[in-house]
Amino acid sequence: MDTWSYLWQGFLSVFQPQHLLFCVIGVVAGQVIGALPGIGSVSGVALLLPLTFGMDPESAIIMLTGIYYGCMYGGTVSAVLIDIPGDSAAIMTGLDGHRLALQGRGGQALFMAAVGSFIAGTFGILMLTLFAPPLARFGLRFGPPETAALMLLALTSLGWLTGESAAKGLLSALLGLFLAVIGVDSVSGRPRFTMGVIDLMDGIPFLPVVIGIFGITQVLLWLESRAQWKVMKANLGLRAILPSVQEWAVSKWAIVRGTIIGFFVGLMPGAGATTASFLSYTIERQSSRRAHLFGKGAIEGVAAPESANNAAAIAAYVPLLSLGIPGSATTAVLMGGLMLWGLRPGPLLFRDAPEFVWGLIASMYVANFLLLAVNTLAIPPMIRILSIPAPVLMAIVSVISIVGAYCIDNSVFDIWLALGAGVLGYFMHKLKIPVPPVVLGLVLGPDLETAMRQSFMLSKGSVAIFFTRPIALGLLIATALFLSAPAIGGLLRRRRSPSRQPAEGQG
Amino acid sequence: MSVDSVLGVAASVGGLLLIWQGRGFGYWVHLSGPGPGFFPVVLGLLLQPVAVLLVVGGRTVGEKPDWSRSGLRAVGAGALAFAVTIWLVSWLGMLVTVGLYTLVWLRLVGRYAWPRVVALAAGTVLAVYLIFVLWLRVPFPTGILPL
Repeated sequence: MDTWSYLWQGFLSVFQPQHLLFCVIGVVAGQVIGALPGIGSVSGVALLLPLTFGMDPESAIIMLTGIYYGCMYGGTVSAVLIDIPGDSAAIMTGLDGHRLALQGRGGQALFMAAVGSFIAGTFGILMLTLFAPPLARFGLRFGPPETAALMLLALTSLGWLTGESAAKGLLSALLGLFLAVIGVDSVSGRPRFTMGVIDLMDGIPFLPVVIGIFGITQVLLWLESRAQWKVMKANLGLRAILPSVQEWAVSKWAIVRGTIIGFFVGLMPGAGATTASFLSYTIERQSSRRAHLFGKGAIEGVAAPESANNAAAIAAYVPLLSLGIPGSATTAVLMGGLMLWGLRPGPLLFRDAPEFVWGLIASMYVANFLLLAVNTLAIPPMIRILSIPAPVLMAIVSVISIVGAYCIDNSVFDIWLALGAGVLGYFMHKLKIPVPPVVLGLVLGPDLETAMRQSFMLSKGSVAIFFTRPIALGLLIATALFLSAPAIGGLLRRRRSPSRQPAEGQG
Repeated sequence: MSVDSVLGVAASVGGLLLIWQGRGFGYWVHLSGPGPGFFPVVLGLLLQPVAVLLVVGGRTVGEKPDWSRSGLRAVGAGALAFAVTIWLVSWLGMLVTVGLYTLVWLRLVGRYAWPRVVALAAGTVLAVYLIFVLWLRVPFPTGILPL
């Protein structure tokens, strides 16, 4: 069967009434929880994952996609109406979106964000459909050295690009890799760093850690700040949310540019939706004739970053599905969810379980459409949910974290792990150590270790194996460039600055 | 010494411990290649340059985290409440514990009136029961109570 036949089969599966219902539930639940202030897309996906545990794999994956989609968009609603972005990818949307809401045009901002997200999402999924299968075929040529080099590149770039300090990002990635080491070594059967705790013999399970580090951490941070929020009132009738002809005219190219920038930035592990939205907003402002309106309520200032972050969120699926490398914390959580059903994203999945891959991709098309429908028709009831007072919301997050961590493996020990991860997440937050690299390190750790050990076994201990195979060498050069880029940039700036100083002094 | 420098020193010491422990696990096994200690040793080695970057960066930045005594006390109380709740799950069962947690939280943290607190806690327990017990068929611990 070719790509399109598989995709057709995928659509047939998604359009079964039961699957369609799960997709709708996923999109709505994802959007609601992703929109709640302080939760955002990663926590949203982590907290809603337990909802899929009792299902058959196909339904679970379809619902997961809906949750992912809903959560990715949910952050925009709170950014526009409360001025608290649900996640960092929605920060730029909130700049102009909230200004528009203050002017009574919150409805138009949300509608334009939904349309931009829909167009960007559709483009992204189409690109995924076209390019993921050939990339996966290329990925089948990867041996252990190439796999290890690719994972090192992903970890380095995510560590380097998230947060304010590259060193802290790398520290976070190494911490994740260390957590992945804990447990019985699969080759020799020797326990490592288990401290005699029997529950740790199987290793540290991924999902309780994710639930703790995103869910419980949020509760602890809120206890410290006791932040309250107020939802802006907006006219959300269908007529009131439709933008004017002029607003369409200024937004259409912003959506196109945002989509293209977002997709290509999102392909790179670590860069993700946040970088894409920052970049597209900056480019839009610099190239716009209405630059003076940016930050004061320019609708294209909503359209561009929102399209970019959605395109980037889809682009992150390309390395995830074709090479098994999650490009962001959210896709890492999603990967953990897929692995619960024994589905290991990567090139082999396209070959061995095409019905799942194409069911997943087809459900993305459907979830994208559902998101547009939900956001034009069902925003008002959702906004009422946003008005939940902070203490009630945090009680709900606590309960979901406790119950969710338990029901992964019906284990009370997993709730203790989630609490430990929550406290760790709190201290990481206070010390400004980014959390996404820990998650990626934990999910990629076992495979990275296996790939490295197999590589050194093949080479009988020689590191030359990484430098004599072209793909592995190319990936290592890319990693080295990543690591050295800020240093080279700093040197270049330092060289330029002495020649500028006199000119500045004269001016 | 800035927080980043302390973090760098801790990372370096942690890395050295990983190398030491890793060597104990067996770094290289004759004929079969890298042993169980191989990867921990690699991680320990990689931590060293990261630690240097942190210490060097910490000397120039020298930032202090925004910690307050009252904030830390609130976080400590929250973590303790979580710990007591988890401990109670095995004794009282999941549903009763979740109900108690919500009750105490909404009364002490939210400072709501009792009727509202009871209604919200009952709603939470009902939602957990409907989703996790009836729909997803999760076998919750029941503890000493038959719930």
